[in-house]
Amino acid sequence: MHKILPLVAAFTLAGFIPTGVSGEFSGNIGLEATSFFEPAIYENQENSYASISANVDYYHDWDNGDQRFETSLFGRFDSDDERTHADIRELYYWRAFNSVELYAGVRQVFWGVTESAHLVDIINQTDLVESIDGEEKLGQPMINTLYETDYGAYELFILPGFRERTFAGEEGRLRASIIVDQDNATYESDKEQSHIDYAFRWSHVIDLVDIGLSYFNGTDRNPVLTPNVDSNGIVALTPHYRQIQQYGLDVQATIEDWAWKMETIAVLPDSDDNYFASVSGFEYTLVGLSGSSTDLGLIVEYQYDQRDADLASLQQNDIVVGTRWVLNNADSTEILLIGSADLDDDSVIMSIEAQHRLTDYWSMSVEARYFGNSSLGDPTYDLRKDSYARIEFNGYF
Amino acid sequence: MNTFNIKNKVLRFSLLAMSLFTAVNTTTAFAETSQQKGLAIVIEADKRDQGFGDSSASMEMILTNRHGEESIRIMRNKTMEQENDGDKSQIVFDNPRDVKGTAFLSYTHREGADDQWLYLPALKRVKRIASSNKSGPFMGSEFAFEDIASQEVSKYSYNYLKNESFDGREHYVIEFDPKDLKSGYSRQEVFFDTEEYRVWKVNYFNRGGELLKTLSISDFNQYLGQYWRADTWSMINHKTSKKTVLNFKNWKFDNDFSDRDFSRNSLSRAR
Repeated sequence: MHKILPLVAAFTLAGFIPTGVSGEFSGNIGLEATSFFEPAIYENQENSYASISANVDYYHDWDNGDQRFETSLFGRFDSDDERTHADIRELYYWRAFNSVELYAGVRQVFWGVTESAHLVDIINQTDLVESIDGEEKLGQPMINTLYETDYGAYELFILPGFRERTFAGEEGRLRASIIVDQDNATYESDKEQSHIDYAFRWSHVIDLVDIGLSYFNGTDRNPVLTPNVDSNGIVALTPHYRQIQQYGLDVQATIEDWAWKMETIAVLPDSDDNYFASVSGFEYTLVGLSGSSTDLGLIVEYQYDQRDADLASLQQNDIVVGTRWVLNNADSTEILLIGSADLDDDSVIMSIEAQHRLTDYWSMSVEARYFGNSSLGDPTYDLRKDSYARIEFNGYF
Repeated sequence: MNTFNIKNKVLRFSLLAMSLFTAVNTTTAFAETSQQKGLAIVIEADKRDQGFGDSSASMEMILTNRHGEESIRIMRNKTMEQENDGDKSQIVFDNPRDVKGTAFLSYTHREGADDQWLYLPALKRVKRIASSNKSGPFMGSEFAFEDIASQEVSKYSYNYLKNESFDGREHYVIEFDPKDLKSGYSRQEVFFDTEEYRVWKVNYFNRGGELLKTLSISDFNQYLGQYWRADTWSMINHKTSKKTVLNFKNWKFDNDFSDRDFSRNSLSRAR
């Protein structure tokens, strides 16, 4: 229950915000059911899970729109205890000065351009129990300045307060064969979670090209997982968070129906070998497929990671091919179908994500993933029985 | 979703000024061809809308399918005029609620493709999107992106067809031939009133040359003593019998917008 505390605190805090200026509440409630196609490998795991989640957002502008308070709170109850959690996604104060903007508080910041991997995106920790696609993030405390010029936008981030990655618990599916012991993470820095990280980013739009250059110095968001025997004599994976520097480059050139994309990072751990990783590819959109209103997007991306397969990353030499169907109908139906193949070991992941609007206040989404062909030693081996389908209904207020 | 300078189309083609007669008289004096006359009328309409600076408005789109069922989209639009280029504009979606907070930014250009970005609030992600998708429907409506994008004089060639009277007004009927091969239309017939150069009607012809859609524009009001904006845009698709009515409300000028309000970074703050 201790995880619910931040949520309560934030609600209390929100109550103190002055009223009477422009602002509004909004949010949604999600009802989710997940079903696994094959019986669980490990004890205590279930074959289906039910879950309810809520987002509550509030913002409030004053000073002619030059100041804002914004908050976004998230909570979930799930039949897997580790997936039951609450988080302050955002809770910040923003102010615009003449040419500089200041953000102070908890925020979510996304960097990058590619679809199948998000390499340069390092500010926020991944909320892995929410989704294994790495697109759900935990709020990150920060002080952030933004300075926009004719030669691009310059951003400085000071990041106090490290957030640990969330992992599925013993009762959860989509986990490694050995449980991650989330209560005993270790840190390279003596300051542990209080280490103050910082980051810098320059981004610019030059005609058809959107480009970003970034530098991060601090605690790696990706832990190294090492098997250890815990106090009860049970083998568990202990997350170890290293100190790193990361240089990132992201580029997208949008030329007619083509979007060419590339993200590359160079990671320099304080006490380990340097490595680089890259993902590059394109999305091509066939507009008005055979006379209809449907747009068909073709996505091809190649992922390379210099590290060995046994380290954290699932994507070390993979090709990803996908199609995105956008029906352009009144209900905004969209279907994204993605297949990813490991060129080294033939393992494949197939996924389908679809969204459809039911009414002005309800929408539904479907997600299914299939893990195939993995043999012992592949990064996806532990997920071999975890192919699943998930349906979610979202109600908005 | 795509560009939204709705106001602009209205504006660019609508304006009042006493110079109307001067312009027409000047052009006719040279015994021009129908192409020259068409271009002159469009240039005059464009000229009358220059200098509005910036504007904002709220928008309600009512989609009606062939069974008469309605669905409603609610959006807000801001636009800022640029000195030597097309306008910058931003649209934020309020309804349906699942797309609430989604924001669309576009920089239209006189020459070449427009720049467009989409902000997806669930991922906190700003995505540059291909702007070649001109003929696709906007938000599932009967409006294509190109119908609501800022219209730049250089993007079509023109041909004056005739004068036509309806609703007690005299109109110039000008044929617009899109230069862009990605346009969904072979041509458009645009009806400007001869007094104020406002667009009251557009007939859209598909690539096969058949009449596809008709747009009727009405409820004009004048702002800053000069610029005309319409509150009601009604698009009927003759092939599908589907209809979309776009209502503008709360037109505001002199918002004192700056480039910061239209930057890529500002999209994530759009409300």
